[in-house]
Amino acid sequence: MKQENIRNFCIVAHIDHGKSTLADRLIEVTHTVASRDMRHQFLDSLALERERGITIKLVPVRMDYRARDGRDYVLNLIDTPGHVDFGYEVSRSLAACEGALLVVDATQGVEAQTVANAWQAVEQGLEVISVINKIDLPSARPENARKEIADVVGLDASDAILTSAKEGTGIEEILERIVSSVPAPEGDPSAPLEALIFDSVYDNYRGVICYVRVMNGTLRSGQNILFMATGGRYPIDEVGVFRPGFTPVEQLGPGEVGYISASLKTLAETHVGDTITDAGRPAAKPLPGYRKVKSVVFCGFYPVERDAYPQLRDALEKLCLNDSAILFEPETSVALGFGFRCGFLGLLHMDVASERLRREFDVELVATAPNVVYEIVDTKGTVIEAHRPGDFPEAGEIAEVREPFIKLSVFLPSDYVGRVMQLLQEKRGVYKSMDYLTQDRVRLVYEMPLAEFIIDFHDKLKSQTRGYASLDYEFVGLRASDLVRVDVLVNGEAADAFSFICHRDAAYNRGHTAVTKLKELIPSQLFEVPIQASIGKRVIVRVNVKALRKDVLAKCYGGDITRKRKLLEKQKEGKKRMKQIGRVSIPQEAFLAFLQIDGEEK
Amino acid sequence: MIFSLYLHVPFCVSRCGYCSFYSRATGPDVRRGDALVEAWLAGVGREAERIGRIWEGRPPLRTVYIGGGTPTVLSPAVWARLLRVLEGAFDVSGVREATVEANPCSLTDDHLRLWRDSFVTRVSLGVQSLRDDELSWLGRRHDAREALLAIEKTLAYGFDASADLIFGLPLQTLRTWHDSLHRVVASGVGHVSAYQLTLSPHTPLGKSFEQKNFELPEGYPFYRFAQWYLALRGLAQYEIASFARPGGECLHNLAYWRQENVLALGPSAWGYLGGGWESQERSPDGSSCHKFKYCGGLRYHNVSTLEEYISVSETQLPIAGAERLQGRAAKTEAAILALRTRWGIDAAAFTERWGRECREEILGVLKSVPPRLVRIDESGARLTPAGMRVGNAIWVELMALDD
Repeated sequence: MKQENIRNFCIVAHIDHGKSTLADRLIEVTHTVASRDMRHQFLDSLALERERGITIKLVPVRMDYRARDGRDYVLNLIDTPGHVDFGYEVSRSLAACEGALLVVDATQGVEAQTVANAWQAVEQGLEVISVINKIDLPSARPENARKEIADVVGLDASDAILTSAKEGTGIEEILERIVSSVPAPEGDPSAPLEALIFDSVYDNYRGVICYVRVMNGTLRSGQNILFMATGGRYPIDEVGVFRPGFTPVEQLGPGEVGYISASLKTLAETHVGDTITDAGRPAAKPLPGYRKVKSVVFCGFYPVERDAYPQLRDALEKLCLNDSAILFEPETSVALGFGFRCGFLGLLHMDVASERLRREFDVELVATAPNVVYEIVDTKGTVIEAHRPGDFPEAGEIAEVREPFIKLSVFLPSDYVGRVMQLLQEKRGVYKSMDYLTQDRVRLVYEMPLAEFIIDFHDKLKSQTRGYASLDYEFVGLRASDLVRVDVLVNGEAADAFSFICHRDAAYNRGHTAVTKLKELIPSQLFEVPIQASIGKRVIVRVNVKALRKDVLAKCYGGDITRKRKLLEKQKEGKKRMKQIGRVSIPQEAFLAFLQIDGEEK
Repeated sequence: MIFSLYLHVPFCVSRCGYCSFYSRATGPDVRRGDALVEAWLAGVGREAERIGRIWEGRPPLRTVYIGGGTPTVLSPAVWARLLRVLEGAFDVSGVREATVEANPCSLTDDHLRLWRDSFVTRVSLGVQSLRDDELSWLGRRHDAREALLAIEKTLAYGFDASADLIFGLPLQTLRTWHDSLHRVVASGVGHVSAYQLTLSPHTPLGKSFEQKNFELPEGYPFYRFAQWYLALRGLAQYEIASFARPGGECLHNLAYWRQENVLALGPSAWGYLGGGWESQERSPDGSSCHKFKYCGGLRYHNVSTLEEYISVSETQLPIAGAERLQGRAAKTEAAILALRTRWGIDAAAFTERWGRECREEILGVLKSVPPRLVRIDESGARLTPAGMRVGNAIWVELMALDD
């Protein structure tokens, strides 16, 4: 294929602005998939995605298109993950393209993440084609969407293409526009090889498969290659393109998009963003922009049945073959036994991981509430990375606590501004700016602690705005905060599993909520059990679990004695499964209810 | 060796919705009922004879309890034959207490007269409540007036009388509970058994509660009131569910809690043998050999249905199963059963039977229980009234020793 006839493009769209459906239409119009093989949301790779109707990332596809100018083109669609958790991968996908389709829902307008991703596309020098989708809907207001693209994103949208992916209108126009305005890739086929890994997947039969975009040079099967970031050297087993299945080819030249497999056993051996070069004739320096992804949200995964620990470990190992951004290390919890502390790119990433463990690996697990990593400077000046409340030194030894902050943009109808500002305030948000995108849509920019964001911010935002708000965030670094560790004491004994970190001003309220919840969860004992929340030695809240008043005591003659003993044995077994904190028995379920994330939505 | 005997009479006129004991509703068809009763009586005769054969003589009885079911659905004529069977198979000369369970609506003067002339000493009346609305909710066939009349008659014939009462009924209030307690005490009974209504999911009432998602009221106020009120009126609590005037405690039930020998007779009856003996028995044709080895701490039960009982008792003892508590479990059970009663664990007796180490372990656990629930001193350990209210929780602590 001639380099000048290649067009590489991606789609930037908000979560349900019709990306998958649009991709389906493109595939159909270009006859990339025989119509009998066509199915809805063809490129959604995970069962989970198809089921939820959300798309984290589409699989890449290569389409052949004969344009109106009579020439044949190769169009490579490389998707960008539509969620803020995967921002880094967005930038890598964009780096593999020369053009981007900015898809905006004609009924909703521009959403927060769309703006961030569109700007990244512009920054990376991509040609951005505006597409206003869902014009078939009665509530479509394409002119508003056009205006928002101009006002909010700052792109000229006068030539935006109006489409209805559902009905198939405007699809040819998109293809024509890609051919005419997206530049052909540059690159020298005889230069040293430079190929960007923009994604990688694990295949049960072939091992790791890297999705690559060749920038310079040529990739051939049998070639010895070098991964520039990891230093790994491997011979290539297979080179191919996405049709959309894996289809081997002889070679990939500059501008081409495809995959390689090279006997790589784990995804850890390859990193998205890394540069592949020829081991014998390496490039002078790797392609720019590579960085290691860093987990920002952590939580514990524990098997529901304690003896299922090995299954959980196997499942996590397999999952990580598929998703190298997940970190995990063994951890022991007083309450939950053996499990793993896992790190994720964000909440959706965490959610998807736990859901995939359940579905694909059939593991019943308990996920503890997510938390962030704090940085503590103690009085001696030592910096401690604190993953859990237990890592916090005694209050007197702490000089400073720093926590990760994010800059948050919220797009929302102006009617809800008051409520959302109040919510942001409660979440320790710091106001940065507010501007009107259109007459009735507002953008709020705040800075807030990530820890507050991950607790239940998204849920609350949704309920406050009836789902009409969208948000985007980026990290702005660690900042000093007045954070304290609140301990929970059960009958005077500190219960590690229940302690938590929060801002000093919220300590009383959070402490109150915690002890009240525990009061509900801890069954009556033979004695009264005080439950206290304290900061250091100072108790800030106390409630009591009243002593047990009465059992149901039945008569007990003859055979009743055996029945009674069996009943008591059952109770005893139940009690054995309980966790002792001092003299208090607490059922596992209480720990679960306390530690588990509330509700469905994160 | 001396025994207690429990005889199960598996017949009722109709089944009560809350009862999970085995019994057969005889219903209105008297002839069909009669045939079953005849078969049962024959079975009891055969079983008693077999027990006698094992014992090589007539086992001497100390207490007898004839329960059910509803023993008073048996006609006085059947009763006369039943008593003859028992007197023939067992040595009743040393009987100190023999109780018959009686239903207020089927108890007759003829029954009482017959019992008075036998070894029966005590009648336990299934009163349950003295409120007609509560009685009809329970599906009882008698009303309050009949219940009081039955108590009066029983006492008039010179029997010790006990009344069963149930608390925790959906319609019950503390006032109606007081009313039942008050009138029962006033009627002159020397013994009251007070039970909390528990609904097994296998019973009709249990099923309907489950379906309708009803919940029974909390028993605490009723139970606590009974503990206070009955003691006030001279009926001291001597066991979790039992209250009696001094000397009126049920010896037969004490035998259960003290792990004394109890022989089972009749379908679904339970027995306990603390001693041990061995026996060999031949079938009528002389071919098969049945061997029952009774050793220390054997609790056993008979086949549960009347049909099985009738057929099995043709050829052998109708025992369906037995369990022998061993090691720790036997000791813990002894402690738990002892703690059901007012006398609790007698330190000296307990040590003699189970050893000093075991006693110390048990007392050690009890010492970790708040002192308002258990009194512990030189002589032993016993539950306070507050302790009796939370017995299960205390016993579970003791059972942890079994591991």
